[in-house]
Amino acid sequence: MRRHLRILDFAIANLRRRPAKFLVVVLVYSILVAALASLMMFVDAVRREARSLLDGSPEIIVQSLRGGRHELIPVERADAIRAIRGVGSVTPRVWGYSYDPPTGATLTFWGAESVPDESLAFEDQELSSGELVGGCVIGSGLADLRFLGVGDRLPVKGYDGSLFAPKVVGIFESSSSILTNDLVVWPTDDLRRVFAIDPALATDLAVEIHNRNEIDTVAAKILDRWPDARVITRDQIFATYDAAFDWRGGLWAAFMACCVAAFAILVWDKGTGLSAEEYRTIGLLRATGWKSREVMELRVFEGGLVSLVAFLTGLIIAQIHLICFDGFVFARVIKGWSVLFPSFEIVPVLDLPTLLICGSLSLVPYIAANLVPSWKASVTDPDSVLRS
Amino acid sequence: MTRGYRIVIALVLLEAVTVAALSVAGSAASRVDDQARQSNRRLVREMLLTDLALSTGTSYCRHPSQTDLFAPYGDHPSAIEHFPAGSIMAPPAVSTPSTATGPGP
Repeated sequence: MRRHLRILDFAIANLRRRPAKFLVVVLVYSILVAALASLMMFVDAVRREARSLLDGSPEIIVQSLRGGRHELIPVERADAIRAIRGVGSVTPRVWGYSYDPPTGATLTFWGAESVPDESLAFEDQELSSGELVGGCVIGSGLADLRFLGVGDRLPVKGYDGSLFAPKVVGIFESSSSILTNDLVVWPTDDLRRVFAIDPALATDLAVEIHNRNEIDTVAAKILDRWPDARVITRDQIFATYDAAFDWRGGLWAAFMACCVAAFAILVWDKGTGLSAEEYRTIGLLRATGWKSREVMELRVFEGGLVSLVAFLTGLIIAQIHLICFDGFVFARVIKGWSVLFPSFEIVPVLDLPTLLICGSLSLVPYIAANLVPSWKASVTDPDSVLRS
Repeated sequence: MTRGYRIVIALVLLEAVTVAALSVAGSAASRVDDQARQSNRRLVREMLLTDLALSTGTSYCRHPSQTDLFAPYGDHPSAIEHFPAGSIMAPPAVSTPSTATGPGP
């Protein structure tokens, strides 16, 4: 043990002999690890957040297609779907979009008779029962953008150009802005009037399935019965968000591949060609009685120290970037952007896969690149090494 | 011998402890937000929501799970995407009658 510690001490002394080189390599290395770890944790956190929130979404959404395009669906189909074994409730959903010229934002209008009380920001005289009688509840992003408060009116243009001005009776908590930022929740009948949607039609149907294992079977039955239908299962919603965030993370990863490649070239260049001084040091050590194994151990310690310090520093930078600065470097690309952009906090988790992937991409190549040329030098005759 | 290894081992240990402490801090932050998260889950359940309000510029970015596969090309075939968010939006994982109920792309 004592011998190993002495070799470690010697390795540290070697590194201290070239402090600038040591610091530059550690700095570049740390930034690379930080970027990689941040990206992995950020994408994972956003994906986890999406899955966690949307776990309560309807098991199946049934839409109607005509000519390959989305079409309003007859509400009467709800009864027929309800008759399928395993189906719980079937709820027609009425919703749509409306462009808001003053702000340049596209708003989502959602038909509902009430909203959960706990999702509303209560102040004096505000909505107390969650019931939307003749009024609407809007998202906090929209309220901020239009400077709206409870009691104000939100002008909305109807399908025929007529103007509607529902009273704002509640504003969603800002903590729900990831779901409600651009939302205008309005009683379904009022929304039907604005969008001219016949009471016999709905935007789509939300189907509740009692047993998760039967979702695909019920979906297949619906498709079999109505060939013009499109069913979207909850798993497909998850898959959509996984794909979206993986795609976005992949864009960053592709960009970072250039940095990784540059670093790999640096490591390869450093590793495959020992400097004259390093070559001479190995020769001297061999000439003074060091065994090849001990020279290799020295080089492993040198490479391992640089890698380990850089790896841990990189992880610290990554976590500070995510916890204190909400991952501002990647946030816009991973989350997306728009006029109405929700603010939400991510919860980074440093898990084993992240550690293993970052570790294998950073620790192993650097140590390996250090070892190969050192082994070549250490097995060569000391006399010829010194003379060369 | 300078016994420099003691300093380096101390530095490495300090960094490892800092990494662990930051991980715990991240988890603690998660617990603080638990109430808001529960409330959001209930909102999704009761209002039958299916998508996150991340990018509101266009329907296929606002509700990517509900959109048509060809939505970005609605203007004409091979139309160039003109919404910034849409440029980084992966294809939706929806099923069509021809793809039955299997997971989407």
